[in-house]
Amino acid sequence: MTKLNLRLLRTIKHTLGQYIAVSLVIIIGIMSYVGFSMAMVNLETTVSAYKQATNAADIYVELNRIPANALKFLYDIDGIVDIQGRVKSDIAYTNEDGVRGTLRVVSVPEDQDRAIHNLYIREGSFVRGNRGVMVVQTYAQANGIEIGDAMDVQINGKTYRLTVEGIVSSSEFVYVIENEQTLLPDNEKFGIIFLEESFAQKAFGYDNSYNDLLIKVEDEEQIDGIVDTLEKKLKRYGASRVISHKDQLSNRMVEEEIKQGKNSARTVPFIFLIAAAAIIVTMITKIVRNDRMAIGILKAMGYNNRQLMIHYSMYSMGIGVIGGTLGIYFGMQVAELFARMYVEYSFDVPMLVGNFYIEYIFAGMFMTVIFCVGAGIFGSRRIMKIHPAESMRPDAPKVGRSIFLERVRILWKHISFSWKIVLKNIFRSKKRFVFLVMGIALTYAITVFPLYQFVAMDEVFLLHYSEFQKMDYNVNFLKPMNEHTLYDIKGVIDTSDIEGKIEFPFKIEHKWKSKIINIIGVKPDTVFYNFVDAENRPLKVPNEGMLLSEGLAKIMGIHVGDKLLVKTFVPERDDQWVEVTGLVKQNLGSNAYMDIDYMQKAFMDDQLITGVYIDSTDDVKSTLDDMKYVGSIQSVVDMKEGFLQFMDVFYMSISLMIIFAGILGFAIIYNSTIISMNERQLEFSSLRVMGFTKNEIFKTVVYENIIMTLFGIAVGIPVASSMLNGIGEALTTEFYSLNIKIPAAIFFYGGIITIIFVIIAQLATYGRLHRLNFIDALKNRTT
Amino acid sequence: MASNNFVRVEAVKKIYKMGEVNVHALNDVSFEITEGEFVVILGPSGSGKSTLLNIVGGMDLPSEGRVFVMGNEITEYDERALTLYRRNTVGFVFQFYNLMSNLTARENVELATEICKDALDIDEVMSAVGLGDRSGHFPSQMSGGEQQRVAIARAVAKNPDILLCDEPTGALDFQTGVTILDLLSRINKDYNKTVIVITHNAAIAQMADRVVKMRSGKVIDNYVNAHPVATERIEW
Repeated sequence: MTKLNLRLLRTIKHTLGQYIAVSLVIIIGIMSYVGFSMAMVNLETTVSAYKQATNAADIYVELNRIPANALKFLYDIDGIVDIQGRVKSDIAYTNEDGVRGTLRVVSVPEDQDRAIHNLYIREGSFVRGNRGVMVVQTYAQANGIEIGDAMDVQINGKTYRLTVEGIVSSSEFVYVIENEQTLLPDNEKFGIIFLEESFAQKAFGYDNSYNDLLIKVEDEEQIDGIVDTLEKKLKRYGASRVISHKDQLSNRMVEEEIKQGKNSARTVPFIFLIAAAAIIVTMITKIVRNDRMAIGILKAMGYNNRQLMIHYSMYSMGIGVIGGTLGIYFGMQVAELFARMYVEYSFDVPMLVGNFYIEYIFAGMFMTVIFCVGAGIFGSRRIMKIHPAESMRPDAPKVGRSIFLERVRILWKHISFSWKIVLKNIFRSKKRFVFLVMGIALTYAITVFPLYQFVAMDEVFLLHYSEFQKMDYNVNFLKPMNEHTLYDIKGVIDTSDIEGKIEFPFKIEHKWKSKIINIIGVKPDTVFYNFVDAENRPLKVPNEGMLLSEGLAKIMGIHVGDKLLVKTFVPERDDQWVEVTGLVKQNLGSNAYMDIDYMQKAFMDDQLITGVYIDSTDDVKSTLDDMKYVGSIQSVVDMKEGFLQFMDVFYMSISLMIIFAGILGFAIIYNSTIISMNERQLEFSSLRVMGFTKNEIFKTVVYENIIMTLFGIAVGIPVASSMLNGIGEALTTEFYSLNIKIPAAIFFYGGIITIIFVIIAQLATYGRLHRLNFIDALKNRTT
Repeated sequence: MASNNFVRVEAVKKIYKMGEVNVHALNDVSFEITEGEFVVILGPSGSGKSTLLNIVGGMDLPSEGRVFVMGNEITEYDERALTLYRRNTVGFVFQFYNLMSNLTARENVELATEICKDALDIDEVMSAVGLGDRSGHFPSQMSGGEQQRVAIARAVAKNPDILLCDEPTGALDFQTGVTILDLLSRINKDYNKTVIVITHNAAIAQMADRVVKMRSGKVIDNYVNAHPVATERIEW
């Protein structure tokens, strides 16, 4: 090893704390890049492989009823290669603990090998015979259901005792949620069960017919055209929903999750890498400045600029090698962990394709090289300007100038000597001041981010289920009913308010974009919704026309006054152009809202409702349990409970982000404090000679950092605020919108956490200051 | 056969600009040095002797005039040629030793020899400067005299043609200073190196083969000392 490299190693050893701190920041940056990127690609590949292995459908159709023998005519449509009819229906189910929920019953053909969306058997076997049932794994796990257990289910008023023969997973239900509105899985209350086809047909009254189709096509490119044709052809069979696999709920949720993960992989790592590069530049600039004379000596010996630039850049290359290698290594581990967590906990996928993607490893290495070597070269550029002859002479003392506070004499004369040192030092080292303030501002912003996510999710749910939707219960009927049903319900429960509703899927088209959404029909003076626009101005449900949720309007590029084509699936009803009269601020889900009377006349039948909203203190769930036509009963309390369970998982990712922010804050404060202490050895020595104790000197450093931390937090507030607004905007999807007022409390808590990080970093430098030999520093002439 | 214009300085001027004022650090300086001479450049602070040493050592360039070393005009050299000149032709010894604090004595010497073409045996040089048994020590574990010996070993081990010493005894007590001068004298004789020492200490001039006296940026005297005295007889 050359002696220059040996010197480098010893310099690293001497600055090990700083070296490790900044390496950790690089590790986090590269780890999050490699980890997120690989996890998301693996997740994408896994889901895709799972769908391929289970022969996933390309098109999904929901209809009223179609005879089995009518399916063969659909093969006339060019591009369709396979059609599978089935019976699908939601039923109410009360589990062993008395918790009422909803089961989606899906029929499966006997020949599973040729089936579309064939099931993955996790335990037990495929159902044989009339009384067997297969239960989706998520529901079985949450409810403790095992092979051999009995389930008493009510179908069309008749109770069937079914035996659990299989615990399964389906590529159709990777993300198991009831509908767009529920957003989060509630595995205890919602699940899928699979029955043998003939039994399901008999039980639901669909002899030789189906109410749901799965379709495979020859070529992906043909899907949109086939969907259009199917909509027309199947209208007579009461098709209510014809969607491509891209619009299928589970697929959309999975894709949304992957998209967000990829976005994180593109943003989070760079925050850390840029911060690390800034720290490295500062460190190397200071090292070069302190080594000015050594560099002069080395040049006098015959070392050239290139050799010396490489020497100092190798300091940061070392950080790059350590940070890059460990970052890539941990990133690969984390990638597997992330992907595994997704397939096991967030989704229901029975397999995991765990590939290593060399391109991300190379990209990680490339980023490390760019940031570390770039920072090293940039930091050591001053070497070029050092002339050996000049470097032998001590640096000219910096020009002393009064700081602006000194001109405020009344104030200045009342400030103690220690504070004067602190203030002068802060305002004279402007670059250091800016670096530290920006560093703390960044730490603050990164700390505030997860707090915002946490509070935002809370706020979103709270706003949605108490401010926007005001009902205690949302009851859905198994099939559309006459409005008189309201009186039946009123007769059995004591309600403070009750309103009928229509919730029905329609396809809306705007220019070249189309979406299938649930349009909700409510009374114009409904007490169960609080429609306001983005500026919180109240919106009225129009007599004709509709309100549209803001997120949906944004995605489809719809504005107030636009007319949308509402395509109906109801037989003998025509498509209609409907004007959007207002955009509703809605944090969860995407819907359109119409006057129920208008909706009945224009699209449905008079006096038809699909459910009711109820405000009541009665035990609505158990009372309505026995009503044949009641499909599902969602209570706000249940939704909140589900949300709290989800938040438990969320705590982990928030804690992780805060730890990352802490490491960044520590690296910035610790490194700059150590650099400052090294630079000011002579100044501290002089103070010691004057009689200052080590603790008194340490206090001046602490005071400086306190002031800079306060400045940093002050700068961090607008930085964090604009970052959060940007993130809120970026994370707004058609399912949920994070556009909420940023609560002031998170800025306060972010500040407290940042101060804690600063204190920890400060304590870590205390030992260093105590070990400094001030007297040696005064007479030291070695370089 | 010794070359009698081994180092030739011709009408060298060096002007620094300090704010609005031009400072004439060297003003028309000329002299010659013969190969193998022990030269003392004597002058008070501010006389321009360090500036002169830096120019001869290829660390600085004159504003006017020419400097020849071994027949080559180093004042014509570009940055790269000057670096090679410093690497292979000259060795520096500084008043405050300027060792690398995180390298041992031996490593400090190796740092210099690693980049030059024809380095001497390091153990031999370390023994020659009397530090054979201290080569594993760090600068902070050594006295000033020992550190200066390391600095000399570092300069000598490169096997340069000229040894340039800037106030080598300036930071040392009398006894240590004499030892260092004795070492430089021995290197001059044993290794046949041209040694140029700059100092403000007139007593040191007694041991020189040639004395160049400077004042206010000018050479005021340049003579060959017919009877150099042994270092042990020097006192100040």
